[in-house]
Amino acid sequence: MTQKPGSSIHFVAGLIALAFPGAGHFFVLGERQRGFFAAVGVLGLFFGGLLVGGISVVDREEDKYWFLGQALIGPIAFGVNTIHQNSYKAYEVPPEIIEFQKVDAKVANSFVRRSLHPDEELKVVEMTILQPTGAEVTTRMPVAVPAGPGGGPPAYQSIGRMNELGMLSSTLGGMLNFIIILDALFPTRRRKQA
Amino acid sequence: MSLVLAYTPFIDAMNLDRVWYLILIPMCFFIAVGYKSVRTYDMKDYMKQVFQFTGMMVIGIAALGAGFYVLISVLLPMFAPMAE
Repeated sequence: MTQKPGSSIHFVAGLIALAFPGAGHFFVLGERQRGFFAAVGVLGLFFGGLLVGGISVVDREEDKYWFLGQALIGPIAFGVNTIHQNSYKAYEVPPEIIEFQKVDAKVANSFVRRSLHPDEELKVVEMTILQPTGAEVTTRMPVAVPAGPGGGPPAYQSIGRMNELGMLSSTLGGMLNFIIILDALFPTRRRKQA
Repeated sequence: MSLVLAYTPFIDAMNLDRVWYLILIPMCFFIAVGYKSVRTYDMKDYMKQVFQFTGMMVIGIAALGAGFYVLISVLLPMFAPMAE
């Protein structure tokens, strides 16, 4: 499907470009080469950032302003964030509550999910949460506990320059994808060089 | 040593603290690849423009870094010396 003569905005291409970098040009506008290189550029920056700084560079809860830029990559950024939150972070829960495995909903809501320290490991416990209505809900909760011999966190939280550069690279990927989405939305605005 | 053994790509950070400035080159390259893909009118000139743009960014940022180094380490101590 190509751009209709006279039309200046292409919603379908814009939406597809939002779903996957470069897909608007590749599948909708029929510009395969542009779409391919757009995807290489955006995904190279995003996954390059992950390679340099680790998965902790994409964190919607702890680095929400950076995530605003990263979110422009589309569902891939949200997927990486979901994996990070659910598989590599844990709730800070007092040891007596972990042992008792039962907690009031108000107290449970105050637990903070965070990256694990180098001397901690992730443990999934069955936790019964007492609702205000009196009902009991049992859930599996990842909690941070002191690491045993040979144990450690599932991922080391990156710090310093590696974290900054990884975050910068993945956010630049999102901002670049915004330009590519705009180009897919308004394909007639590309100008010939003088 | 244990940290090196535990390294998992894309999950843990790379140990590039000593050569962190070299990350500028791939970062500029991927920016150029993505940006020129939508800004180049004729795709025949694409790769040439990508390398030109990468070079411009790397040289420009390196020049800015050198300029700030001279300003902070040479010129400022010259014009506003620290009290002894």
